[in-house]
Amino acid sequence: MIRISFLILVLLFIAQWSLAQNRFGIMPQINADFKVGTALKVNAKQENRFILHQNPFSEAGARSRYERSDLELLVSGRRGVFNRFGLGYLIRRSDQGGTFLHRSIQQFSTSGSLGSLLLAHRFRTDQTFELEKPVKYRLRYRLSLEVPLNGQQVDAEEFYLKFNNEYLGALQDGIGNFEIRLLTGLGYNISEKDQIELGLDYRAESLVQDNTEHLLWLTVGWYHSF
Amino acid sequence: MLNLLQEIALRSMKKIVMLCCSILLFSTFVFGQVKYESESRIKEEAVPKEAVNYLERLFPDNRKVRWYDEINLDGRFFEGKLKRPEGVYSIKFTESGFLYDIELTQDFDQLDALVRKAMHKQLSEQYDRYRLKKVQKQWLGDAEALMALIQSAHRSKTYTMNFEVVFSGKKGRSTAQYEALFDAQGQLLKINEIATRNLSHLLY
Repeated sequence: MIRISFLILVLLFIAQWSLAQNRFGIMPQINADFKVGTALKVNAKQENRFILHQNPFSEAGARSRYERSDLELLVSGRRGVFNRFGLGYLIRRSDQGGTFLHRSIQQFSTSGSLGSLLLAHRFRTDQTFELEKPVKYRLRYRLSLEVPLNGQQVDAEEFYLKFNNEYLGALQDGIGNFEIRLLTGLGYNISEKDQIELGLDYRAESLVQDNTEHLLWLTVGWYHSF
Repeated sequence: MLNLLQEIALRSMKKIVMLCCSILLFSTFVFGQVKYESESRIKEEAVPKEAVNYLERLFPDNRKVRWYDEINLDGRFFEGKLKRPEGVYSIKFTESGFLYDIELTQDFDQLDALVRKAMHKQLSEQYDRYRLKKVQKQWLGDAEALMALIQSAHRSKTYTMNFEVVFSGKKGRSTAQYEALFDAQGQLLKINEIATRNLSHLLY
């Protein structure tokens, strides 16, 4: 499984560089959550993007630059042990004129185990609001998989592998689009409340239109639970 | 003045120590209700010889045993897991290599109808809703008696059989995962809540 994923990533990487539009960069994120009473949980995520290489690059910018910062808040409630419903809001500041983007999010997630593997399904809809642009509607599905590297479950001070595969359909001003994301990462479970992850996140955007863009991000994440 | 300050500091210190002790006592009490278990895969060389020999004698034809080092609130154990046609066996040994228990996964339908009925009755009395996830038969007792039981279904009086059931249960607005232990007749012996992992790294 690890070898296949690695091979897929290498092939995707080669394919990416052979195509015209691509971006490579680093995407650090901090993710924290805390409980509100017994039923609700608030998750806050702060994510940034720095482009290290892009082709082509705009006349105003350079090949490497800061791209954007996101702040996302999601309140979720439990339905059963493994199912969660959530509502959220995201605000994004991009370097293109320092503009802001607002997004409302609705989410349903469910998780379960398959032997020693941990599976999570996430279904999301979101609506993006930007000045002088029509509202963008998206429908998303993500499958996440956690593989313990030591034993049958991930305990404190143990490593794990993480795989994400997400499909996104978008509709803006009557025009539809499609995006696929693949992530493979190595995580370390510091304790039950803290995890750190390092991974590669490949994204193929605007697959329906001619201007398909390939992005590859080196992701660094810290997850903390209060 | 100095004495007064010293006295105030001493009193504050006493209060802090008492508070810390109370928190420690309270956390121990709470911790006792939750099942804690940490296990990691190990090589056969790291397992006591007595345990390896016992498994070799129990299943002479089986070479595919996975060994785990398990630490829970009762101490440290070595656990060998292997798949057989009748289910997955988990055979647990103490740190010094003595047999602790043998567990075998079961389908709930394989259990005796009266036992199932008794389990359902007791769980439905305690929870508004519940869903069974995993059932295991557990044998405790003399190592040789358990070997005879598993190899030839020879029953002796030197063992005890229980059922270990993992389920999710809902009480009021609170939902959690639990591990219950029932005796051979399906009478509830104990229930522990299973500490669930934070899955934010998979969900957000």
